[in-house]
Amino acid sequence: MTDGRHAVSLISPLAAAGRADEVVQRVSQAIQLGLFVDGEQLPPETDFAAQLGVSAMTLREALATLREQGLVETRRGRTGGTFVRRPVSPPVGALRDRLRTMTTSALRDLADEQFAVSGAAAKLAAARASSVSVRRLVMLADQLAAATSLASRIRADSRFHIEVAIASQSERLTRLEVSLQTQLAELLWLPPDELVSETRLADAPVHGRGAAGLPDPAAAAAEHRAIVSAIAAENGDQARLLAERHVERNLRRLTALRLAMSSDLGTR
Amino acid sequence: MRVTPDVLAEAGGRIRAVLDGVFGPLAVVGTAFATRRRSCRAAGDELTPDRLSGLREIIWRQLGELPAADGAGIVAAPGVVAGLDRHLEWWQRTGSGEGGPGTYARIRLNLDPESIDLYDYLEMDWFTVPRREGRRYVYGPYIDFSGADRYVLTTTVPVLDDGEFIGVAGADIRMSHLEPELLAILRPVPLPAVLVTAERRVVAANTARWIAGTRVPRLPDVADREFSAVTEVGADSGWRLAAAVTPA
Repeated sequence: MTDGRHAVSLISPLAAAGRADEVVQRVSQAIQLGLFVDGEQLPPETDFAAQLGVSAMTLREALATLREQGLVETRRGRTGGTFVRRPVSPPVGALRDRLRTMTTSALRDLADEQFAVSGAAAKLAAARASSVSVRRLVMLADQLAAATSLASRIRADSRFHIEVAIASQSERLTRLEVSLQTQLAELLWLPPDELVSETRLADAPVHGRGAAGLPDPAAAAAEHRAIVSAIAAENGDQARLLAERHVERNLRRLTALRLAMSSDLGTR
Repeated sequence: MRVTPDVLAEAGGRIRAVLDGVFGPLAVVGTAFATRRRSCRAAGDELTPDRLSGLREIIWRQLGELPAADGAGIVAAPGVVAGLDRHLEWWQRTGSGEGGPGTYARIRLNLDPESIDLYDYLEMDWFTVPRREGRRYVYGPYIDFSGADRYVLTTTVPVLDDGEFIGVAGADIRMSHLEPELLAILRPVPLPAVLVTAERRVVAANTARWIAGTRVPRLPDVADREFSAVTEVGADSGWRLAAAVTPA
């Protein structure tokens, strides 16, 4: 039964809970979307604060959080300042640790949100996408097929899903998709533990690799292309179905990857 | 019931005037860009980012003239600014201060051709159409996540120096500001009326029969039984304003 106290926890935190949190979110999204070049210097604090419309104190608070997250670094001295840090190669060890702290039901819940957002975005995109968006989606699917590094796979994959949301013409769905991609995209392309790749995965048949947890960009790119085709054909139901199945397959792969981890440090 | 074509044509004319009101300040920015380029060439100097940045106060002033604009500026054709493939001088409203320091901030986009994240405007319609067709262009409405993080129209005018295309002057117009202006024009039309882009996207309508941002199955046409009158808005927008045959 739901009593008063429990019901309170179902109320979402206010979006404007903290201006600093909002700045952290906007800046990390800008980095995630690749709007900043790696190593780019952020504007001086007073200018940047004015640009964002927040106080210098709020900005400093936000930058401290971003620094903790490793997304910016501050150097002192004459050539000092705050610089964007987007490592060329994502920190695989740290990402594995992050996945290890997640339960399979937490992964499933994250995928449930993506199921709702991506499915709806694909359906709406089929009815509303501009020809420019369709062209971009095709290009991003090709980019994923051709991507060889972990970083470029993450970029091409997450950009694709964000572009579907953009094509839906919904700002809100786009924000949700960006936030989901920030949480999911990096985990999705993690190579499995050596233990797994050497034994079970090596024996897995090619078509079974996804289920066994091995990232398969060619298969993901094929799924992306099928979603674009349905969007281009203005077939909303098909686009939604394909997008939902894509989420389900990704969840299965992530769950397999999580279960294959040598140790369960879920409560660490 | 039929709406006289005159009523619709008049509403279309008012929408054209709104768009012309956006293009006017852009032409001012474009002329300043061409003049700066010409005077650099006459002096035998290279047009550097620094020399182009001298135009920022003109851009700010035009942004002051365009309260609906989120940002505006100059986007250069390849090689025009210091031999660079891509260069832009684009300013956005910050939301703090009106006219004072900090009112505008220069946008930073990834123009590194080696980067997978390159913001490749050379491929974008709002740049390619003015370049190819030598005319003004209205792109959208669309969600501009890389630039404005808003639902916007991008409007551009080609800039020529002695007949050579050197780039565009443009502005991102926020639909949150433009829609009230359009509805003020559409509301008095005595029949259901819808404004659509050449891509069949609904920009605004005076009834819930059409929802903004969605697409209509066909471009409205008088040959359609559904519509009693259709008018081209003009101003290089490709927009059409149509009135339905029957009341909502």
